[in-house]
Amino acid sequence: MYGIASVILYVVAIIVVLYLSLASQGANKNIEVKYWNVLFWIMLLFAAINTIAKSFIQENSSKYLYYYSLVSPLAIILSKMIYNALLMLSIAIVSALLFALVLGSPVQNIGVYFIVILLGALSFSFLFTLVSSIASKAGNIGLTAILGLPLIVIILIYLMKLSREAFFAQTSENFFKTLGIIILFDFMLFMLSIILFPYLWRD
Amino acid sequence: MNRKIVQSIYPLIVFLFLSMPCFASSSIQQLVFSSQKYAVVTAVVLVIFIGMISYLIYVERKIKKVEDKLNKKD
Amino acid sequence: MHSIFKQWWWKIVGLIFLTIIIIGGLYLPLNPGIINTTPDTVAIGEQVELKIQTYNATFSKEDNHIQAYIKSKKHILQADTAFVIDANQVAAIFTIPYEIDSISLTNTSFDIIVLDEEHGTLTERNAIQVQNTNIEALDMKSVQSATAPTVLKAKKFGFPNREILQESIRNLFFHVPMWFGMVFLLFFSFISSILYLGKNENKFDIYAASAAEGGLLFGTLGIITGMCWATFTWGAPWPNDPKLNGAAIAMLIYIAYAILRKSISDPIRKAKVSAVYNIFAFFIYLAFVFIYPRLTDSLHPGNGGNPAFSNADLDNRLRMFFYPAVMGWSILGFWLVSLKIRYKFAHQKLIEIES
Repeated sequence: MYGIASVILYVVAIIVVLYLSLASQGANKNIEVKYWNVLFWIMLLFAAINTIAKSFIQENSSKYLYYYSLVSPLAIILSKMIYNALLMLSIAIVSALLFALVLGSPVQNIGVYFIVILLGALSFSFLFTLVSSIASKAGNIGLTAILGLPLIVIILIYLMKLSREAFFAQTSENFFKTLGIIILFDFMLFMLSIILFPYLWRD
Repeated sequence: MNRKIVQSIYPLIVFLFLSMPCFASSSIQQLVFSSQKYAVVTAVVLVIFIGMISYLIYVERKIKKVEDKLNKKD
Repeated sequence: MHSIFKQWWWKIVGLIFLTIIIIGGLYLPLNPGIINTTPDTVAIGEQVELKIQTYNATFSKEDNHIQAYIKSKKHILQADTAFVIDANQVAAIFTIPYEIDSISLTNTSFDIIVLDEEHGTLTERNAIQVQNTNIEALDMKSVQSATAPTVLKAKKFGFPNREILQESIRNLFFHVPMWFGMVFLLFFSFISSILYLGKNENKFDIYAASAAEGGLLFGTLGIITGMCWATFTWGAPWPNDPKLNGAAIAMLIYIAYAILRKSISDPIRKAKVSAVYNIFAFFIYLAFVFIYPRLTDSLHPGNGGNPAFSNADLDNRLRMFFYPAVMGWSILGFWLVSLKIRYKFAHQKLIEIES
């Protein structure tokens, strides 16, 4: 519970900083939709890096090592990914609500926006869980950002593209194409994670 | 420590040095356009040549270090 | 696998390819093309003599078979006469009518087409603009659109002369193979990483690390040469193009791989962790290089949904040199990488002797 509370506080702090920065420039009223979208996803990206990077932080203590020797690596990565996905989803929902509160919400189609946020949470969690396990094996949690950012860019671009669809009442004809690409990406990341993680774990 | 910093900056210096032909002054640009852009080809070939040769020199120096150490052993 | 790095035959094959493409690619001439046309604006109803400055052509004054046309999107108009001024200059006299096929020519822009048997078809797009002057003074004559001339190829061997590209089309043999070389080297690195995870042999880790480094070298050279070429053709060193952005991100991925390797001291853990990252990164690299540019509009040929290297982009004369160029530069890349691999083996032996 302490973990989740700290993460939520982190997101709230970021949004406050963002809002005050925008307000100091007089840009907090009627912010353009595209900038709203970019700010939202960039904020979510950094929240994801900061949150998921910590998911293997306790790995070195002997108690956890003992636990990990009992269960299979597949169970570990699956549980970590599911936990991170749920965490990211709750962060995304909280931050979307906060964004709507302080900056106004351009979202017209809430169903589509929820799907985009869900897919975003899944992509972030699948990618950064494996990357953070790589970084923790390298003994440097700070590497998560360096290793993960170049990898996430392409998915982030498609997520931003897809979330534009939610700002209009009707979805465009590209909607299902972009959706398919993101689902394909998520599936690829998921498969790669569960295939590669056991090799990383066996020490 | 100092040496490590120099080593980490080295690729950046090489990168900037190699991209110099691209940001030449406008008079050179005019020259390039007047000769139907053949000079671009020369610049590109030059960049590749310099890049590959500098990589070769880099590997060569590493091999030399190993050789020197091996010679000391003998 | 290791012994092949010490053999000479494939290196010699690569050198032969490179010799061919450097000599052929730099010295073979370009096909004739049009540099500019004066005047570039004409008035309706006027009889005008257009001076067409060509490049690399060898027109002779005895040649009477030159034809000249102007072509808009809808119509074609043949010149009254066309004659040679000197080897690289042709003049054509046109009578610009008021209408063609009963459609007014006001503010139409025309391509100019010059052709003869020897030089083939030369075109310059949007060479002249029709201006609307002095309408009252005209007779309202309407003419029929001429039939399009058949496209002829030049008789002499030469690389295609494209607008904007011109002589820089030769960069196809130097800039583009850098990307192919990068893909091959990174693929080799990827396969080595898979083999390392499967077999746990140290040599595969050395292959993977060296090939990734070679791929990074090729990518750097590809980006720099691309910036050079783009400055003089697209007007800016970094136009917002998906292929460029994708390449830059690919570089970041593999620089991150190099940093990851540097940050782990235990050799076995280093090998294992970097192999996992390499496999993971290669899939995303593939997405960047092959999927992402195809879904977005790009300045590069073969993007925005089109297959690369269709007949329109690459003709047979370019292909004859392009494929050897890809082979030659990739082999050179593997050669450089094999030196690095051999160095790493020697270094490892040295450490074993010392300890």
